[in-house]
Amino acid sequence: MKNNLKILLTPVILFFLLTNNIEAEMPPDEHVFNEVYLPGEIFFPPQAYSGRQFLFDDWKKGDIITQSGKVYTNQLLKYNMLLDELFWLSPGVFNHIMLDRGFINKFTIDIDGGQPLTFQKIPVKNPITGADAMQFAQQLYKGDLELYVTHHKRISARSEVVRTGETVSHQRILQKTQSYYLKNTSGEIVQLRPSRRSFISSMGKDRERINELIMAKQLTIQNQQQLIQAVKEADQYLKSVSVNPDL
Amino acid sequence: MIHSSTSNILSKAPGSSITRPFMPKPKSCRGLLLKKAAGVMALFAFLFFFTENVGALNGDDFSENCNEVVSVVTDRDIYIAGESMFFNSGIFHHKTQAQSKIMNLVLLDKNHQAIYETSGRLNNNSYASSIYIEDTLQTGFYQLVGFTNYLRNQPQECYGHKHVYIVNRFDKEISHIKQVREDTSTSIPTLDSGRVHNVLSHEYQKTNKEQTITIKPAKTVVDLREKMDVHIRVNDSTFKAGIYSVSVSPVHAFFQQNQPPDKTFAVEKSPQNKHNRKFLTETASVIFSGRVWDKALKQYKPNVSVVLTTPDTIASLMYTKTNQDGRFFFLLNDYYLGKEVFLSFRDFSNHDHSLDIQLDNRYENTAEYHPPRYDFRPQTRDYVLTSQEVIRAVKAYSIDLVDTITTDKWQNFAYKVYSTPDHTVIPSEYEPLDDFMEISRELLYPVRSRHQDEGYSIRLLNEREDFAYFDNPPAIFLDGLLLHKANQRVMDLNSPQIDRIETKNTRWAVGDLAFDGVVSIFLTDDEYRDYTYFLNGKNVQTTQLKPNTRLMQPKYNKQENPRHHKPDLRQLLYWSPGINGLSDDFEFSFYTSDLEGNYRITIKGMLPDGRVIEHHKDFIVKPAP
Repeated sequence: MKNNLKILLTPVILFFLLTNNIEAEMPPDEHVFNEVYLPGEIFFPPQAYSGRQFLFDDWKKGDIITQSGKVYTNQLLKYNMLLDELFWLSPGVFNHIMLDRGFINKFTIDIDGGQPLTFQKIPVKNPITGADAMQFAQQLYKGDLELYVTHHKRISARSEVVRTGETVSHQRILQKTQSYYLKNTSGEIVQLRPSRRSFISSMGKDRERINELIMAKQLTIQNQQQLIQAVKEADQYLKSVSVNPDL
Repeated sequence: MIHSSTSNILSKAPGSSITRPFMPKPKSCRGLLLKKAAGVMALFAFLFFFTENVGALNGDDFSENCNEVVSVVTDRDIYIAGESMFFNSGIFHHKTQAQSKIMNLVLLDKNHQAIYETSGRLNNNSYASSIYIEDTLQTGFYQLVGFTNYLRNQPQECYGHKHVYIVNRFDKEISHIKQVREDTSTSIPTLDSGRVHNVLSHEYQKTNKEQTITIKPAKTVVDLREKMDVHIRVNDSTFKAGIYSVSVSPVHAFFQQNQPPDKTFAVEKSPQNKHNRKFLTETASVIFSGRVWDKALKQYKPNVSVVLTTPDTIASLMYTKTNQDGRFFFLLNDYYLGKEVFLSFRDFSNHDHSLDIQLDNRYENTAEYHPPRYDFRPQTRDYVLTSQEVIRAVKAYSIDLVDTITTDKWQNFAYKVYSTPDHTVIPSEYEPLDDFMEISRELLYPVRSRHQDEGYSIRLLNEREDFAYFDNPPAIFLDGLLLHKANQRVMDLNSPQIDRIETKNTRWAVGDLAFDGVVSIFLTDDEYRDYTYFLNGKNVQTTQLKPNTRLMQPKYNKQENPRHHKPDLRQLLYWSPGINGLSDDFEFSFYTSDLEGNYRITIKGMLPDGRVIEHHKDFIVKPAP
C-alpha cells in the first residue's frame, strides 16, 4: 500500500516541483532570435564534371563566424572545393545558398566521431598575378605558428565518357590539389611542402633555430601528419626560447 | 521538504476527498482504483492551486514576487531645473537564468506624463548616469522609475522608484515650500543617523549605528576648496552585500528624514504573467518589439514576415516572423540603436494593406503616480532660492560637471545584404540623364525598367544562369530602405539626384528571404525622407542607449595654485554610484567648492532582500579665518 502511494505521489510531486520552477528553468530569450541573416546566391553548381566537388557529399552541421564576429551555430553546410565557396541550406525554405564569402571569416564542419574541421579565410598569392586572394583553408594547427591546408579541385585536361541513358558525354575529370600554408611568428603566410627544406625556409627569422631543432630531434617531414608534428614541435620550441633566450 | 509539507496539509484536512484514496484497498477492486486515480488528480489540483498562490501569501518577500528587483537612487532629492540629476539604478536577480543587461528609466510628472525616457547598459548590476533637467520643467514632485524589459511582465512593486522635487529656475514663489509646516527638527544633526525600510511593507526601521554603517569624515568644519577624507565602516555583515551610492551635497537638498518610502503605489499589484511573457529579457541588447494587427479580420496576425531596414550608404536588412500572438521581436545590436528604422512587410500584396504594425512602447508605465505630501524644512526655501542663483551662474560660466564614460560597443555592425555589387554606376560620371528609366537604359544594361499600365516594373538580368531577365521584380533599396515596388517617384529620379546605383544580378537570398536580384539606389542627399509615404510600414526611432556618466571632480593644490581663476560652484561635491558590495572599510576623498554651507555625506543602498538602507553624516564648509 505504502509503495503504491509512493509510486503515485512521486510523479505528482515531480510535476509540482517542475511547474513551480518554470521561471527558474526558463531558458534565455535568445532562442527567439534564431533568424540567420546570411546573404548569398541561390545557386546549384554545375554538374558537368566527373568527380566530387564537395568536401563531403552530405550536408554537415557546423558554425559560421562572420567578419563582424557574429556566430551562427548548427547550420547545415557544404564546402565546394572546385569553387572554393561555402554552401548553406537555409533552414526555413531549404534554399541552396552559396554564401557571400565577403562576410565569412571562419567556419567549422562537424565530422562523425572527430574534432570539427575549422576553415579560415587566409590571403594566398595568386601564382599568375601575384596578387593576394582570400581562400578558405583548413586549419591543421594553431599556436604561435599556424598551419593550413587548402582543399581544391581543378578541372584537369583528362576527361571520361559518361553515359546517362541514351546520352553519351565527355566529362572533364576533377583533380584534387592540396597546398600547405604556414603562418610564421612574423605573421607572414608562406606556402610550403611537406619537406624539411621547405619547412625550414618557411620559418622566416626563426629558420636557424628551427634548423637546429630539426637536426637535434632528427625530425622527418614527408607527409601531412609529420608536417603537423613538426609545426607543433617548432611552436613549443620557439615558445620555450622566448621564455628563456639562453636555450 | 515539500513532501513533508504536503503530508501536513493532508493531515490537516480531515474528511476531505484528498485523504480518501489512501484508505486500504481491497485486492483487484477496479472501482477503488479509479477513485484512487481521481484522488491523485484532486491532490495534484490542490497542490497546483496552493503553489500558485504561495507568492500572494508571502507578498512581502521579494524573491517570491519579483525575479528581478530594481532600486533607483539619486544624488539629491531637490533639484533646480537646468542642472543635472545623477542617478544609479541597481538590480538584483532572483531565480532568473537570463539576467537583464538593459535598464530603462522614466521621469514622470504629477500628471503621470513621461518627461524624460532613457535606457542604458547595466555594468556590474548597475546603471549610473545623469539626466539634464530641462529649464522648462514646472515646479513640483516628479518620480524617477527604473525597470527592465523583463520586469514589465511582473508587478510594479519590483520596479525602482524615487521621488524628487524639481524647482523651475525662474519660479521665485515656490508654492509648495511656502506652505511649509512647522518643523521642530530644524537643527542640523551632528551624529550619524540612518534608516532601513522594507519597500513592500512601507515600514521604516530606525537603525542603530553600531549595528549598521558609520560615516567618519576627517573634519566637521572644512575650508573652501579643501580636501576632505571620509571613512565609512560597515559594522553589520548583512549590509555588505548591497548596491550602494555615496553622495556629498547640501543638507537642504534632501527631504526630511521622516518621509515615507519612495515606493508609493496607488494601484493594486499588477498580475503576474509567469508563463506567457510578452516582454523578453534583454540579456545582451535592446529588443525592439511590436505586433501586426489585421484590420480586416480584427485580430493579431501570426506568421507574417516583418522586415527592418535603416537609411544608410549600404543596404542592410533584418527580418523576423510574427508568432502565434502576432508579436515580433528584433534584437538590435549597437549599429541599429538610436537610428531611424523602417518596418515593412516582405510579402506585400493588396491584401497586406489591411495589416498594421503596432510598436511596443518600452517606457510604458501603467502604475498611476501620486505625488507624495512631503514636508520641507523652513531652510529649504532659502536653499532653493540660492541654488537658483548658483545654477544661473553655472550656466553663465558654461560649467559642465558631467563626464561621459565611453565603453565598448556590443556588436556594432549592420546585417548587409551583399558585400560587393556585381555592377556599380555613378551617374555623375556621365552626361546628365532625366530619369531612372533613361539611366537604366543608357548606363545600366543589367537593369530593365518599363512603364506599364498599372505602374512601373524593374527587372534584372540573370547573369548567372541564362542571361535572360528575371520574371519577378528585384529587391529595391533606396538609401538602404526596402521598397516594395518601383513607383513614379523612383522613376523620376535623375542623374544629379542619384549618387550611385548598385546591382546584384543573381537570385539573391538573405536567410529565408529570396529576391530576383537586388538594386540599391543611393541618393545624393537625404531625399529618402520625402519618400517615406510610399514605404509600406512604419518608420520609428530606435532606443539610444545613454552611456554611463560621472561627476567631474576637481583637485586643488593650495600651495601651488591658491586661487583658481574659474569659480567652483559645485553643490554636489561627490558622487560615487553603483558600489556593488561594501568591504569593512570604504574610504574616499573629495574637494569642497567655493560654496559654503552645511553639507551631508549620504550613503544609500539596496540589499538583496529588497530592504533599502540610508545613512548620513553632516559637516560644515566655511572659509578658514
